[in-house]
Formats: sequence, C-alpha cells, structure tokens
Amino acid sequence: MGAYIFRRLLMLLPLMIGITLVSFLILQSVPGDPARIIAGMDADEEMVQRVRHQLGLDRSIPIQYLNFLVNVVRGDFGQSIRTGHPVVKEVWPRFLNSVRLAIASILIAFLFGVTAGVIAAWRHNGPVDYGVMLLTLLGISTPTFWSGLLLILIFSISLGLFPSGGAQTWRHLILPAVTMAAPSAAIMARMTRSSMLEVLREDYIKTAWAKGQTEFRIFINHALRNALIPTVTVAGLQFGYLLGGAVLVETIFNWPGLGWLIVNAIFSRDYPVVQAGVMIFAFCFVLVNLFVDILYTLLDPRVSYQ
Amino acid sequence: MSNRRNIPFWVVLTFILFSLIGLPSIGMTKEAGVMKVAIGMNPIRLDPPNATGASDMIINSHIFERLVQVQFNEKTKSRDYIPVLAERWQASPDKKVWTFFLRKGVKFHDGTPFNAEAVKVNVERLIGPQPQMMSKDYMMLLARVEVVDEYTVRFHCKVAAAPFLDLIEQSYLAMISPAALQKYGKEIHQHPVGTGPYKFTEWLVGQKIVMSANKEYWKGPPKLDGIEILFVPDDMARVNFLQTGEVHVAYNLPIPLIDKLKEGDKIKVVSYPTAELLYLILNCQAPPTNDVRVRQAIKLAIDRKGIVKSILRGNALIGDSQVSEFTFGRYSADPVVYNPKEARRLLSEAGWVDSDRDGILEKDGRKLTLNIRSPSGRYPMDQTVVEAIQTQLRDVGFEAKVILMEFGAFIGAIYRPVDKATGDTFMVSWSSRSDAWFALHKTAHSSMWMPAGSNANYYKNEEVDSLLDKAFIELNPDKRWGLYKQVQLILNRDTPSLPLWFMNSIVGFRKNVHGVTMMPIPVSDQFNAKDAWLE
Repeated sequence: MGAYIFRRLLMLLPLMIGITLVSFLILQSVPGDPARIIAGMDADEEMVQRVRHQLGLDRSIPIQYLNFLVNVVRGDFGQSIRTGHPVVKEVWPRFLNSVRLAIASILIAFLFGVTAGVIAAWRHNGPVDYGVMLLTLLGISTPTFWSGLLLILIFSISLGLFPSGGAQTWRHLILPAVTMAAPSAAIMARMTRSSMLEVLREDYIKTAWAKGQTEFRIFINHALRNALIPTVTVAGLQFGYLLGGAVLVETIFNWPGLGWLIVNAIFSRDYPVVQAGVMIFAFCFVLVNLFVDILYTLLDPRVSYQ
Repeated sequence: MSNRRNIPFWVVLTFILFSLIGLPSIGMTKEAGVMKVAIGMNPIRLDPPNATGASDMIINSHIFERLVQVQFNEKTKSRDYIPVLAERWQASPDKKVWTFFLRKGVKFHDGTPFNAEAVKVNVERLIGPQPQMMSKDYMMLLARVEVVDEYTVRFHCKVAAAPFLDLIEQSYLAMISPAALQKYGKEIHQHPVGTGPYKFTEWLVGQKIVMSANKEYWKGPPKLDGIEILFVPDDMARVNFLQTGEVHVAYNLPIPLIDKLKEGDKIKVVSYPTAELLYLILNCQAPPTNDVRVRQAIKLAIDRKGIVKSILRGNALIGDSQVSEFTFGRYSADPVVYNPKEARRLLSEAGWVDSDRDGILEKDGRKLTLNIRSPSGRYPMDQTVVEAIQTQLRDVGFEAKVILMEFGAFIGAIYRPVDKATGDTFMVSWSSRSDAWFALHKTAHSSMWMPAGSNANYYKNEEVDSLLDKAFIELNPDKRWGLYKQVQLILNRDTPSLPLWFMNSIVGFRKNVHGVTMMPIPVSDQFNAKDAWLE
C-alpha cells in the first residue's frame, strides 16, 4: 500500500512539468504582449521595450521556461509581471480562500445531498421521491451565476441577512458556498438514492429485516454505509471540480479565490501567476484523487491496491 | 464490528463544518469613519511615474501631491493652476527657466521633510539614466533641475514649452519621499510614501488597498479615519455592494441600472462629464479608409447624437472635436451631422458602386469591407454601440463586421508598425487632459505613428505637424489657440479618426457620503475624496 502511494506521488513530477509547459506555450502563442498591457496605451515603444527587458520577456522562450523551472526548484516562483509582488504572496492566500469555499461547499453538498438521497430512497416512488428528483434536476441545470445572483437578490439585498460579497467573516461564506453546493448536492443525492436502492435489494438487508432490526438501523447502519462508498468517491471528484471551477461564483460574490486570480492573470498575460496557479490546482487534484482512492480501500475491505 | 465504525458520520461532519467556520478570517476595520469605495480595475503600480491606469491614479491622488495642480473652473470655463506643494512660481522672460518656491513645513508620511532636494530627486528619477514609464515627455522638456536653496528649486528647460505647467502638474511628477526611494528601491511601487492627506497602510493584493488618515497633513487632518479601495471587477457585484451598504461608493456603474438604482432613498447616482474621448481609429494608409472621402462617409453615416441619446441615455458629451470642452485649445470643428444620403453620395463619388445589387458597394472587384475591432466590457455599452455602428455602416453600403476582442489581444492588434497593421478600425479612448497638445500631438502627429507613439491612424500631414510643433513653443495663448483651431479644422476635414463622444463617469454614492468631488481634469484626480466625510 505504501509502495502504491509512493508510485502515485511520483507521477506528480512529470505531471507538473507537463502542465506548466503546456500552459506556458499556450500563453505565449496567444496574441497580446504583457509588457504593452502593463505599460498601457500611453507609453511609447521605447518604454515598452524597457519594461520587456526588465521583466526578462525579451529572452528566448526556452530560456524563459528553463529559468522558471530552475527557480521553482529553489522555491522561487518569481514575481507577478503585473504587480511585481512575489507570486507566492499573491497565490497562496487566494488558494486558501478557494479551499475554504470548496470545503464548505462540499460539506453542505454532502449533508443535503445524502440526506435527500436517503429520504428519496426511503419513500421510493412516492411524491417525496419525485419531489427530490425534480429538485436535483433543477440543482444540476441551474447555472451558478444565475442562482448566485438570485440568492444575493433575496438574502442580501431584500432581506439583508447575508453580505453580498467579500470574504471577511463566516457569514460571507454561506451564500457562495450554497450556490456552489447546489449542483454537487444534486449529483450526490441522485448517486445516494440509486446506490441505496441497489443495496436495499441485497440479501443481507432481508436478513436484517427478518432479525427484527428497526427501519432506522437498517437504513442508516446497513444500507447507507454501503451505499455511501460510490457517493464518497463522487464527492472527492466533485471537490476537485469545485476547487477549480469556482470562477463564476468567485466573480459574482467577489470571493478572492484562486480561480479568478488565474483568469485575470491570463487576461494580463501574467505568466508566472498562471503557472503557479495551474500547478497548485493540478497538485490538489492529484492529491484529492489519491485520497479518494485510499479512502475507498478503507471503506470497502474487499478492495486493496498492490 | 470494529469500534471506529460506531462514530456516526454526521457527528464527524458537523465537527469539521464548525471547525472550518472558525478559520481565521481577514481582519476588517469596523471604524465608522472609514469610507469604502468599490472600483472595477485592479491597481498595478502605486509609483507615480509608472502609474498610468485609472485605479492607480485614483489611489495615488490621495497619497501623493504635486507642485501644482490644474483645475477646471466651472464659472470661467477655463483652467486654474492651483499651488499645492509649490506656493508660487515664476518663469524667466524666455520661459526656459522656471523657479518654484516651495511650501515650508511639509513632511512626507515617513517623517522626512519635503524640500528642494526632494524635488530634485524625484525629477531626476524621470529624466535620469534609468527612465520610468512616462519619462519621455519630461526628457524632451527638461535639461536639468537645480536646487537654489532649501525651498527654492529651478527647472532648466531645453525648449520654451507653452504647456510647461500642464506637463509639470501631471501625476507622473508627484513627489515621493527620497528616503523611501532609497529604502525600497525597485519595490517602491508597493510602498507609496507621499505627502498627501491619506497614507498607505496595507495592500491585500487582488482585494483591497487600505489608506489611513495622515494626521500631520499640512492642510490639517482629513475628516475620515481612512479610505478602503476595494477591487470588485464584476459590475453586478459592485452594484450589489452599494445596495446592501457594504461599500459607500461604487465606481463605473452600468448605464442600464442607473434608473433602478435611483429608486429608493439610499443611493445617489451621479453622471460626471470627463475629458475621456471614445473614438474610431481609421487607418489612413490601408484601403478602403485611405481615401478621405470614405472616412468622411463613415463620419456622416454614424448617428452619434442618436447613439448617445438612446444607447448611452445621455451619459456622454458629443465628440465634436478631439479636444474636450475642459481642455485649453478646444475648437468645435465638427458640426456632427448625421446624413447617410450624403455618405452614399461621397462613396459613389469615390468610385464605390453596388454592381451586383447585394447592398454592398464594390470597386475594382473589391468589396467595401470594414472590420471594427473593439474590446468588450471596457467602455460603457461598448458591445451595443459597436453593433449600432455596424448597422449604420451597412445601411450606406459597407460590409461591416464586428470583432470583439479580449483587451490583451486588442492591444496586440493595435500596436503594430504600419506595414503590419491590420487595416481595420479600432474603437479606443484617449483623454484630452488640460491642454490640446496632449490630444492632438499624440494622436495626429506623424512622428507618433504606432508603435512609437499612439497615432494608430498612420496619419501624416506636414501642415498639421508643423502647426503642432509651432504650438508647442507658442507662448501667446491666443496665438496658440489659433494654431490648435487650425489643426482641428484640418482634422475635421481629413477625419483620420472619428471622435464619437466623451464618456461620462457614473458613480453611485450612499446618501451619507459627502464631500466627494469628481473632476473632468486632471485625469488623475477624477475621483477626489480628500475632503470627504461620512454622516
């Protein structure tokens, strides 16, 4: 098992190089000159050239990339082309904010999704079941920027219960987390419901009934526990998606997350920031996937890796 | 069954949830005297000679001061030059030597005194061996700066420039503490230290900049305890913040929401005129716009007044010249006529006919194609405006296409030498500032062809060049105005670029905000909260 984990982690190295190389090349080939963007419409060509030289953008592309790699190994992610601040200082707090939002979202999604799925399976084929299915359909199909704005309109502007943006207190976390949680909750509800229904048909459930177990114990202790396995896997993957796909929500709620920072950096052709951001996301995604795989072995003793 | 499986899931989950909520959050000042302003663009560098963006300038104007500042006088409709860090000044008879008598007893935020030596350090930073972003104009103008005594400094110019004070008053020459320049070196743009009413406290990159009151300000302490500038790039989010009261001021509100925001009694929306002109660049070297008749036809085909009225809802001043009404040297050369019939006549006179009756004109086998490139979301209603222009051009026979571009790519497409230019039309903006020289020289002088300068029309007219060169050193204001007038008349006839309108600045205030002034010039002081206070 330890060897397995080690091998998975070793894969990170070629992955990082691959990702940074690809994003670097793509950014270079897109039209737009960061030196000119920084210098602005006012500056003349001499000035732009000077800025370019200061930022080291006039060296050849392979050299720029190699320079970047060498510095990364030493822990120096360079400076933002746009602001001159060290990239780590810009990226790290934003990353923590994104993680905070993603964790809150996944927890809310898990809580509501699993509960809804269990209730739907419990009252299978009844009006409650159909109601939950309808809700999940809405949850998956509603675009997050629309639901986010709607939540702001109702809970922030009309009722004044929550702030409409920013990230200072726990209250600021609720609306964006709920917005992001909705599609994930819907997916997990459906997942839970269908696995519950599958599990409930198993023989050992019939045995439990025969033994005289209460309905509650059967549903929760036996059925849910087994049905949760695929759901937890899905939750893990959803977490990776939530981490990287929060850009729209971050924009609407002015949540200072990493997704929005990367998008903005792409607009200003801020290569170092894009590289660092992309690397962090890739790293996280790999780690989360690894964690989910390991969790799977813990939850289901029949599964193990060599 | 092993014991660890007996812990119910939801207990664990709830535990994690609550511990997360308890994560340290970003500290927020709850002082009643801190005004919060939401702006749309991230500042880049808070270093005056390198600060060209609007957000940089707005923040800097509260932290830094210049020797002199220009202000538009509503009553006299002209410009006053207000002494700030300089109490008075005088010029030699040949106007090549200017002496400034500095204000005494002024200190920088770090305690170092403001004096002639500080001025010298700042000016030499601009004209010295390591030029800054905006050095070029100053290097052309100034030979050297001399410290006469502790509070007297003398500028020796290479030429007797008529817009001397206008160049000196620009925010690029704001005074930075020499001690800070020493201490921070290349990082000075992250640690601004000036003499202004507010000092820089903190920069949470990508989120906000915090300024606190300078209690030792030479005019007396400001009324607020501090100002926070928050970056809120999304239009709707800015509007939401204003409505919930999370910010006191929201900058650049979208035009369609103005009426809605005015409803209710908590918010005041004001639309201020500026000197920022939106115009179309017409490539004078590439077909079809290399023919002046085609350019004039374009001008007649676009209903500028109609667009300002219906799309911009009146939130703009018609562009009847490259020079705004707040700028010295303005002459309203363009009668702003909308006449599609005359446009068609001009095009046919130029040889463009519709031979195949498809609504599009042709000449020598080529179609009358015009690609209009515009950034999206940068200017108020830019997408809608560009589409309206496209329709109006189609009506007179152009095959007009709209190409919306992301701003980085847009810039890449404009800043090219003439032989690599796309031949397309670009929609851009430019501020006239306080003297017509800024508007006219930069955009119409042949030495300013892209990429060397900002003349993306590749317009070359020797008469215009010589008139502008003469105007730069013409010290008699009436004569100078006459020269500018001639230039504007020629430009109206040649139409190398088509001025559309001067865009208003639309700002929303909570009703308890007082004392904020919005100025059309200088461009760096467009948003002035130095004397503001909260009820």
